[in-house]
Amino acid sequence: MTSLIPVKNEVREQSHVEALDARVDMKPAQSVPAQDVYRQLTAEEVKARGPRNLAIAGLLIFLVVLFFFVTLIRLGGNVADRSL
Amino acid sequence: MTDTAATGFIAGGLEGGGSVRGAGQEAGLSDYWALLKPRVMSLVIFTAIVGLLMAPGEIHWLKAFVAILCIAIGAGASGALNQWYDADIDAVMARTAGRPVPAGRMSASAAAEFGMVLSVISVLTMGVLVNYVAAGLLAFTIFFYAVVYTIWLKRATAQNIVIGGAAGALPPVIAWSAVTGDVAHAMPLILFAIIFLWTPAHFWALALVKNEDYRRAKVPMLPVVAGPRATKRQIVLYAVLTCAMSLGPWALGATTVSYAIMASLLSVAFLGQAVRLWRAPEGAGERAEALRLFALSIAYLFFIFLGLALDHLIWPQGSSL
Repeated sequence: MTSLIPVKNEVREQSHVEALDARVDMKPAQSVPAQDVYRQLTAEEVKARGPRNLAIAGLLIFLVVLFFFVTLIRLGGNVADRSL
Repeated sequence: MTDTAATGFIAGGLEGGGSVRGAGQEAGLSDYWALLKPRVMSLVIFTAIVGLLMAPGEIHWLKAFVAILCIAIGAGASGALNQWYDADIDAVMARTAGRPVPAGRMSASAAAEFGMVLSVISVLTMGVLVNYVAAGLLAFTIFFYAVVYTIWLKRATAQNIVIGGAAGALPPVIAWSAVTGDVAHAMPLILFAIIFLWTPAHFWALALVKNEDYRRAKVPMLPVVAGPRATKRQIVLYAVLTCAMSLGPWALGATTVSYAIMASLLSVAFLGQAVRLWRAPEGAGERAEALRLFALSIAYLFFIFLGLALDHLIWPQGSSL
C-alpha cells in the first residue's frame, strides 16, 4: 500500500516538472515588454467570456436579492413594531 | 516551450496540482457545470432535503431554500477542488479523462479558484442567512472532502472511501442543524450512519468494475490492494451494517412500521445483490454483478431516504429523539 505513494508522486512530479520547465523558459518579467507578457485573447476566448461574465453578474444579482429578502425575514416585525 | 506557450502560461496563472495543459484557455459554462459533479450533487441535495424535513421545529421556506442551496454549492465546490487536485489521476482513468481539466478545456488553477470561491460563498451565506452551526458543519464537510479525503486519504490508504465517506454523509446533518441550530439528536446521527455505512459497498462495487483504471492510476482502492475476493467480503459486511442501520429510525420510534417494512424489503434486495456479487466467479459475471450492485445501491439509498421523508410527512409524529 505504501509502495503506491512514491509512484503517485512520480506522476505529480512529472506535471510539476512541466510547470517548472515553463517557468525556466520564461524570460525575467522585468526584461519582457508588457505586450509580450499579456497576450491578446483569441476570438474564441473572447466569445467564451461573454456567457461567463453574464453568469457571474446573474449570480451577484441573485445573491443581493436573496440577502435582502432573507434579512427581511430575519428582522421580522422587530423594526416595524419597535417602540419609538 | 515556445514563447506563445510561455506567455500563455503567465496568462493562465500559476498552475497548482495538475498539468499545465489548457492554461490560458477560456472554458465554457458547461465545463464549470461539470466541475460541480451535478450527479453527485443531486443525491446530496436529496438527502439534505430529507434531513431538513425530519428536523423538529420550524424554518421559513426561504431559509430552507438557502440552506439547501448552500449545501448544493458546497458539494459542488468540493467537486471542483477534487478535480483540481486529482487532474493527474483523472487523466489516466477512462471514466474521468473527459473532465474539463484532464481534457485540457480548463486550467487546474481555474478549477481551484472556482472551488475556493464557491466554498467561501456557500459557507458565508449559510452563516449569515441561516446559522453558524450549519455553516461550521458545511465548512468542515468541504475541508474533509477536499483536504482529508482528496489530498490525503485517497492516495494513501485502501480505507480512503470508508473514512472519506463521512463527507458525503454529512449533508442531512447540516440540513438538520439549519433548522434546529444543533445536532444533539439521535436522528441526524442515524441519517449520517446510514450514508456512511452505505458508501463502501457503493464505491467498492464501482471499484471492482474499474479496477484496471484504478490500478493504472496508482490509486490504492481496496480491489487494487487486497484483491476482488477480500473486497467482495467487505462489501457484504458493510451491506449488512447498512441494512441494520436503515432500521435505526424505526427502532428509535421515529418512524412507523410502514417505513420498517419498506426498509426491510429494500435491504433484502440490496443485501441479496451483495451476496450474489460475493458468490460470482471472477470475470465478466463478477463485473456484471458489481455493476448491478452499484446501480442498486443508488436506488437503495434514494428509496430509504424517500421512505423516511414520506413516513414523516404522512404520519408526522416528531423525530426529536
